Amino acid sequence: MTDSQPDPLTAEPPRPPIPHAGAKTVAMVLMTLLLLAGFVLYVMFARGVFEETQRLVLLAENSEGVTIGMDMTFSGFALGRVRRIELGEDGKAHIHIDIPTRDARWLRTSSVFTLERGVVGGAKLRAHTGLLDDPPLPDGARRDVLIGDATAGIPQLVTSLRELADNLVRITADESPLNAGIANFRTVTGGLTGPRGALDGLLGTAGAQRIHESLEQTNRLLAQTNTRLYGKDGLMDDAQRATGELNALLADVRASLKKTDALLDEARGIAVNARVATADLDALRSEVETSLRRVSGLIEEVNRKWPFARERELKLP
Amino acid sequence: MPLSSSAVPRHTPRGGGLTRLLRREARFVLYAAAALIAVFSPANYSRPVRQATAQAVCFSAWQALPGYALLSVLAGAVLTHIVAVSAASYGLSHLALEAVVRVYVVELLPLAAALFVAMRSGLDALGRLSRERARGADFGTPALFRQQVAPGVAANLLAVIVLTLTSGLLVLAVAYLVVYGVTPWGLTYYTRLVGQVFDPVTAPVLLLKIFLFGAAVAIAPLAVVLDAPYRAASGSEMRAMARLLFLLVTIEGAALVLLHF
Repeated sequence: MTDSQPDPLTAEPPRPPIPHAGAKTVAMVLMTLLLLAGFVLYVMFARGVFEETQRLVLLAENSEGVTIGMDMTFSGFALGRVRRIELGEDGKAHIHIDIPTRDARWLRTSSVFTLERGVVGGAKLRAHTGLLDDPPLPDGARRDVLIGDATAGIPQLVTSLRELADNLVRITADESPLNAGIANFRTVTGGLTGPRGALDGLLGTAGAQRIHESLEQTNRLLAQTNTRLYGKDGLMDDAQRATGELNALLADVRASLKKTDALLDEARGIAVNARVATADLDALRSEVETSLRRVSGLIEEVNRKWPFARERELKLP
Repeated sequence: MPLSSSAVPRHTPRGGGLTRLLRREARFVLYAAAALIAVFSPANYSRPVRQATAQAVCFSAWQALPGYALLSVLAGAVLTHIVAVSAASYGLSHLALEAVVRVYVVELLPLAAALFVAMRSGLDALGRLSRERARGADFGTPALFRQQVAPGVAANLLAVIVLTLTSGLLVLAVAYLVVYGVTPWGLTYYTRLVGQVFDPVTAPVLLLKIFLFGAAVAIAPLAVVLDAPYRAASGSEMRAMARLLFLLVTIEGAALVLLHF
């Protein structure tokens, strides 16, 4: 680079000066540095750099879905953060979790840790503490994690779906029973629209033919019966005439019964008279018996006075 | 290799088109590096240079900051509301804030700030430099380099950084207010979420990306000072913007590779 001055004839005219540009620039640079420092400090604070933590190692069969920085929650609140994941010598995934000391009081020796994987969303590490009176979880504790995997059933589900699809293919094949049934049903429904309707489908052609012939015979029989019953000089006319004669006969019977009633009334009067006569007869009998006792007494008196006659037998009338 | 463009002949007799292109690009890289070094060299800031830099910074950053911050906050509030409502309707409301922070703050805002500064201050600087160059000014000379090139580079670089940081932090605050309202009870969860998003990889990559975006916007107009005067007079906006877009896409792609692979 050579040191030369700009040609004033060709120089671009300067922009109108902005007042207090120096102070504004210093303020802006300071603001930028402050914002930058504040952002960095805030992120460090958010990352838990300034927090005292204790370590918890969770042992899992596999760490699928677990990521560095993901939260471990307790009752829905973030309690710790995954710091490191490694494959241990025992073949298990070792999930190292940093727990702020002030939050570690929620974890006890009896706490249970679960790793749940949903169909949607990532895996979730949760801590469950049933007995808060148990001793606190020590620093560097190692615990097994229980895995609840909603996607574990997917292979079985896929297998079932495949079987279902195979069954569907089998069912819908050309020679499948379902197709045969549908063909039969089509035959039946086709017969329904035929001249003999559902009979062809239900009884077959021969049976439907017999039923049809029986119906025709029945129809002819009904026609003949109609003629015999309701035709001129038919059975109904005879019955009507017989009914008229029966009515006349019944009128005669009613008159005869009235006469019989009168006879019975007379017989009832005779009976009453006979009952009265019977009462008089009783009085007469009493008198006769009285008279007989007197005659008997008289005879006994005569016999006592008549010594020849020993015949004491008395003959009543 | 001289940084001055006055020595560039109208027709280079040696090499083919590709060679000329590579040579021109190498010269541009050297010139841009020299400009960036000058920006970060305290000895460069003599009194006239400080005044020129202050004027350029005020024009690029101070005057643009309120409007850009307001637009960013409004767009952030609307986007956060839309994402929060949509996520809640699908039962994924716990992912809404994280999506806003990851997409809007980490990805979109730096790019938007870079394009905003490029359109506003970059094109202005490009126009001034191209007009000067068309009149035959030699920006390889230390005086012109310090007076007219370095202040513009510093201003655009600082403008991108200031606009991105300010708008990003404002959007973080507005997103919290849109989702939780004026209450301090979501701060713990929100702070934890911010900590999860800006992990030890994302935060440095984001800061590096902002700086590189600023550097790209700052040096993109410098290509014109290496052009011959007749070429600078023919209009260099399209070439400068194409170069800028290429740089921005490259930086964004590299950042994505760093973040996700």
